[in-house]
Formats: sequence, structure tokens, C-alpha cells
Amino acid sequence: MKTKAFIRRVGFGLKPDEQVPKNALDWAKEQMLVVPKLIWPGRIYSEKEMLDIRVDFTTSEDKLQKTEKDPSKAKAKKRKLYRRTGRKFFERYELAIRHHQAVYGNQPVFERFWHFWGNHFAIVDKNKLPVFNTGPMQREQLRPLMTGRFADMVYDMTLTWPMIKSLDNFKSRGPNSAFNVNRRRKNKPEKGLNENHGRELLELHTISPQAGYTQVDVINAAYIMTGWGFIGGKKGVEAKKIGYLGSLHEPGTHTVLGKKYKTEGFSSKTKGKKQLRNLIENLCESEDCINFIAWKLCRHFICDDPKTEMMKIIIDAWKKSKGMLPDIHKAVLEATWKYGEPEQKFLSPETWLIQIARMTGADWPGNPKIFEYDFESRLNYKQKKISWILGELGHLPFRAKQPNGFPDTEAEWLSQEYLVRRIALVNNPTQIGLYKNSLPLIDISKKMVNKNFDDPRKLLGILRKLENKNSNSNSLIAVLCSRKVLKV
Amino acid sequence: MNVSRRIFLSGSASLIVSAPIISRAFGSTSTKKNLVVIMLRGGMDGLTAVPFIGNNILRKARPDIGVDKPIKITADFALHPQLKKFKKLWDKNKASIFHATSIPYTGRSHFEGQYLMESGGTVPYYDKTGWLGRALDTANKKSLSISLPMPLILRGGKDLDNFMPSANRLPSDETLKILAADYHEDEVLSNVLRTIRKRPIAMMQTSKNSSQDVKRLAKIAGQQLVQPNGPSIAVFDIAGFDTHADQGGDYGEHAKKLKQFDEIIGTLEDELGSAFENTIIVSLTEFGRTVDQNGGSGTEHGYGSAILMAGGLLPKSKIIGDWPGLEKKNLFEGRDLDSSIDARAVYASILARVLDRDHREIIKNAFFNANLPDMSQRIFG
Repeated sequence: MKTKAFIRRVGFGLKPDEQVPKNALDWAKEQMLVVPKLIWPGRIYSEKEMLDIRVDFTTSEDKLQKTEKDPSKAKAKKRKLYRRTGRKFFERYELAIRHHQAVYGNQPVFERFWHFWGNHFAIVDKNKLPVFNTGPMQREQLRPLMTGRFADMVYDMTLTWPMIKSLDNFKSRGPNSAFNVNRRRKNKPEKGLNENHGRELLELHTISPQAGYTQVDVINAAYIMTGWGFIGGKKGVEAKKIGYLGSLHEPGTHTVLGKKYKTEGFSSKTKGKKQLRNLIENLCESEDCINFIAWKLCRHFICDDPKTEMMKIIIDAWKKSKGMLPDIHKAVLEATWKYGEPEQKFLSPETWLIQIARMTGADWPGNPKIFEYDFESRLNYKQKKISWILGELGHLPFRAKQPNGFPDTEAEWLSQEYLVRRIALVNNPTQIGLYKNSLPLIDISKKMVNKNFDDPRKLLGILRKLENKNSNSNSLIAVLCSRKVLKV
Repeated sequence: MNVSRRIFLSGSASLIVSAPIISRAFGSTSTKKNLVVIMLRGGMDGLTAVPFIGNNILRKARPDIGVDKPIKITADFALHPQLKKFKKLWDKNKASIFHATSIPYTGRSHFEGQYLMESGGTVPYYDKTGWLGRALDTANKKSLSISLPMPLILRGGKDLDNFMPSANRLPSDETLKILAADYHEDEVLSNVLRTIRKRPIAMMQTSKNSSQDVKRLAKIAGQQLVQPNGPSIAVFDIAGFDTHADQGGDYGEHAKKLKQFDEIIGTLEDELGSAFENTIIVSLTEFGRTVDQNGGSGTEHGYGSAILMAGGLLPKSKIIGDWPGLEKKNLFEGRDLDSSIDARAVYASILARVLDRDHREIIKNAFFNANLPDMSQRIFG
């Protein structure tokens, strides 16, 4: 690929004052070695703090519903509770941190990969997970994992609080676990297996259905996962810790895709605990997993229908490094550099939004100071608009409807309604922090085109025609919604 | 159930032979017929929507998530209490159910299943177009999807549009012309923009209300479907049927989703007025759910489900299908309601009716010449 096209393909384009790197491939590869610090100057809430706030919210809301029967009083109390716990604030705050990092950070390629993995391990939009938990988990747990082994990433992501919550594993119990044996003895109804997480571990996170596993394999994977869930909860209060309860685990040896997972350990508390680690290790080193993830990375960065030769570069790096993510990421960049063609990938709405913000120097997502919140007031427009805009574009990254996350292809992202929303957004450029009273918008457009395109002639030609027409936002639409910007 | 397996099978065999005659009998009229497909993602539980009450197997299998107040519609079947509008239509002979049916996919993966329910093929992620789109390709009818993406089911068709209400305003057509000039080398982008520029005024208007309440969406679709030159095909997309935990019974997660489906039907009936007589609404899902409840008071991915149909094109209300039974030996792989008929046969027959096409032509264009019996007589007879 050519330098500037490559920078837009694997990153978010160049800021107005950013230097064009001499060697774009090296520039990108270097970004994969170290996890960049978050540059957000405001307060960063730890995942634990956010869990505390969440549990405060869910417990208080539950109590409120049970105790306050007067509808108008209940409404007032609910509003107060919402504000005190940031029920409407935190998702926007997390989005602001994420976008601030992507627009102003110095390792944009790393951020692109971070977004990719966040979507790979998508947490669905339920149980207020996008409000309190998904963003902090991605920040605090996923980011640091990106310089380690893929298998460690899968293992740790499997056992994050939002993943266990969203895929229901905390409700899964081995039919012959000590727990159920006891219930049977007491003539109480059993509480059985939940296949949800076991299936998605195979299908979405590691080997994909291409591996040819059966329903029996799914059930056995779910058996292996039994015992992993929440620990230390009290009745009516959500537990905050993830851990292993041997009493819920399905005893015995479980076979997944022909490989046997024996029960290790002697203590009843930890017996069977290691099965999950062993399963994930085996899954992650299988050809099916390596092929699937290589294909998915190629589809994200290179083209909608990846070819064997592209995938091979990644597969070779994977095997050589034994699944080290920096090597895998660097191979993705090499494959993209080698096989990427111009205007080949239709950008997802969020990536497009970040790109146009970064390339034009827009005030997006806004000065971090505006996100300082007193936990008493109503949110203002500037605080709210980030989620409103992403919602309009159809891409609130913490709100995947299904655990396969957001799609990655032109067929999924290019529709009449999606395009209308992109054009309409740029039609009102102040929304994305492009103000008419700064530089004339046509000059911003020209500068952006000159900086970010290897051959800017076509786009400059369009702008030239608009020059005398007093059509400032037209120039932005003409460029930011042009084919060359929508498709990188 | 008034249909035994034997009668069903002989019936379908004879129908294959008589298919062309039936299609001709329906004839083509100048009246605009409408088809609405409501996609229910996540695996709609046919046994919750239309529970079998002929024995107590289901109740025993689902102690915590059974439907407590089913609305009895036949000796053997009932409706979920949230399907109120559907029940009203049933009483007016304008609703039917095809039970124990599924697309021919048994892999229990949502994403493969959803792909196939839309593509109409048998290999996941293989066909790039959808069965409805392919059927429409030669039909000269407009279609409208009430969704942000253009769903796979419609891809491959001509004259497609999709819509959701928005508060943001498009620029003038003069500005869009600048983009049109830029897009002209890209066929897909060009087509998309061309449809946008031709949109009726009602779809250009902005709305401060960004609610995606299904009643509101159904109203918008209804307003377009009644236009003589408007779309004849509408597609809805509801996610959230994947209730592995806390599925609920009369109320709860699955019930909420069924209610949304019901509200779409009710709103469309109101909005379409007399055009409802020439309309058929059908549900579509990737698979049903296990008969037994699981460890989290939910259900797992299964196989057979039900197709709910409503609209004036139906001559009378009935439950159609070959009920396989819920006894362990009759379950698919010992756990799921079996499918007695390839659901694509039902959709093919509905398409033949709405598009006034020969059943065989539909199968050829939309379903890759799959061996699908003609169900027209069963549904519309």
C-alpha cells in the first residue's frame, strides 16, 4: 500500500499537525510493542470502583422498587439515584476516554487493534453492562493483554465479570456436581447446565464452527466451564468477584474435539479448576483457531473476502511466536502493507467518525473538562452527544446486540439509512466539533486532503468546484462522505 | 392436532403435482399484495409462543418457565398470553401457525443459523444474497426494511430501501449531487445514494423523537405499504430471543419480545386498513429452543420452532404442520422439538401467493431449486 492510505487503513489517519512517517510499516509495527498509557487527563475509574458503583446502583434500584410505592416519589428518588450513581453518565464517559485516546493518541494503530479485540470479545447490551462495566473492563483488562499471548487473552477475557454475566456461566451447574447431588438427596429440583458460554468460547472466541465440533463437544466445553462464576455474593446483592467453586463443577473427564480433559487436583474446592486453562490452551494452538483468527484479522484490516496468501503471513507468525500477540499484530500489518489495495475496506461508522475527527482536527469528543460531572445535575448536551451520535450512526461500541459483536464488511455497513446518517451528521459539523468560526471549513477540508491522501488531486478537484459557491459545510460533506474517505 | 403424520405426507406429495394449477388458480390481480417478514433473532421459542397443551410434558419439562395462562386455541395448542393482537386476528380467521418447522439447519449456532434463515441456502456464510431479495429480483416490487443495515434477506433484490427515524437532517439535493458525481464509479454506493435521493417526503422528514419503539416503526412501515406506489415488502428485525437465563413465562424476557412481535402485527393491521386484506405477515427465526429448561431458568439452542402468520390473505385460522410430539423418543437428538417440514417450503408458498408466481419459479429463483413441497393449499386453501 501507499504510505498515507496505509495510515488510514490501519490507524485513523494523520492529525493536521502530525508528521508523515518515513516508513509507515515500521511506524505501525512499533506501536504494537508497548501498551500506550491512557492520555485522558480526567479521572479514570478502576474496574473495581465501577463494579462498586454498579452494585450500589442495582441494589439501590431494587430496594427503591420494592419500598417506594408512590409513583411520583419513586420517580424523583429514581432520578436522584440515577444521577448519584452516574447511570446515564458512565457509558458516555468511557466513550469519551476511548475516542480521546484514538483522536489524540500517538499509537493509533494500537487503538485500532484494541477496538478489534474489544469487538471480538463483545459483551452484549444487557444487564446495564454497557453502562458500568464493558468500557472499564476493556480499558483495564483487555489493553494490557494485547502484548501477551493470545491464549492468555482468551483465558482472562473468559473470566471477566461482564463476560461471565453476559453469557450466563454463573448460572451453569454440573448435573452431577456435589451441588446437584446434594439437591437430589434433599429432593429439591436440580439446577442444570447452561451451554451459552461454552458454545461461544468455541464458536466466537477461538475455533469457529469451521472446526466441526458437535453438540456433545459444546456440552463438554460447558461442563469444563462449570464452577466458574461469581463468588462471595449475598442474597439480593450482586457478587463482585469471579472465581471457581468446585462444588458446582461437573466431575470426571470431559472430551472436546477428541482431546480429554482430566480432573486434576485433590481438594474438592479446586478439583477440575485447571480443565478450563487446558481446554483454552489446546483450542488456541489448534489450526482451526489460528486460521479463524487470522481470517478475521484479515477481514478487518485488508478485505471482506480474505485470501489464503494474506492469512499465511499471520499464520506463520503465530506458529513461530507460539501465539504472541505483538508478532501476530505485526504480521497483520505486514500482510496489509503487502496486499492492501486502495478503496477496499468500507469503514465501520465508529472508525469513520474517529478518522474524520482526527484528520480534520475537530474538537472531538470535546474538551475533557466538559466531562467533569458532579453526580447531581442533569447531563448537558456536550456530555450527552457522543452516545447520541454513535447511536445515530448505529455503532455504540459497548452495545452489541449479539455476542458476535459488530460486523466488519461493506455489505453489513453500507445501506441507505446508514449512509443518510453519516451525511446528515457532517451536514451539521458543529456536532462533531468542527466550528465555522475557526478556520473556514473549506480550508480544513483542503488541509485534511493534502495531509492524508497520497494522490489528493481528485478530492482537491471537487473542492475547487465548491470554492466560489459559499458552501462551507458542502465542502466537508463532499470530502468526509466521499468514496475515498468512506472506503479506505 | 387435526393432522396426522400420514395425512400430512400424502397431502404434500399430491400438492407437488398440482402446484402449477394452484398458482394459476390464485391468478394475478392488479391489487397490490404486501408481504411483511418479521425476523426474530436469537432463536424464538415456538413452544413458548404456541405451547402444546395436549399433555403435560411441556409443563413438567419447564417447571419455572411454563406459560401459566395460555390462551387455548385448539384442543392441543394455545397462544402465549402476550400475543393478544394475534389472538384477535385468529378469532377473525386471519392468523395461522405453522408449527414444528425450521430451516434445514441443525448446528445450533445463532450466527450460522441467522445467516441461513436469510440467505435461504444450506452453507453458512456462502451465498451473498437473500431469498427474499432473489425472489424480488424479477418481481418489480419495492421493499423497505425497518432497520439500519440492509439485511441479508433482501440483498440481491432491486429497488431496496431501509429506514429508521432520525433527528438529523440531510443536506439539499444539490449537495447530494456532488456525492453522486463522486460515487459514479462505485455501483453499490451509487445505487444506495440514488434510492436516498428518490425517497418519499415522509421518509426525508426528521423527527426529534428518536424512539425505536416497535409500534412507531410499524406505523412508519404501514404508512409506506398502503401507498399504491410504495413498497410491497417490509422487513422487521427484532433481536433478543436468546433467553439462556431467566426466560420467564407469561412475563419476562421471551414474553417481552413476543409482545413486540404482537405490537408490530397489531399496528400494521390498524395502519393498513383495507390493505390488510391483501397482506400477509410472517415470522422467521434461526431455530427453536430445547424442550427442557436449563440451569438458569432459560432454554438452550434447539431445532424446530413455529412460523406465525397473520393477514387478510389467509382464508382461515388454523394450525398447520405435522406435530412430531414432545415425548423423548420424538425429539430431535433427544432434546429439541423436531422439524416436520423445511420452513423454506412455507416461505416459498407465501412468496408464490404474494408475487403471483409459480411455486417452481420461486423455488428456482429464491431457494436454489431445493426440494420444497408446495404448501399453498395447506396455508391458503
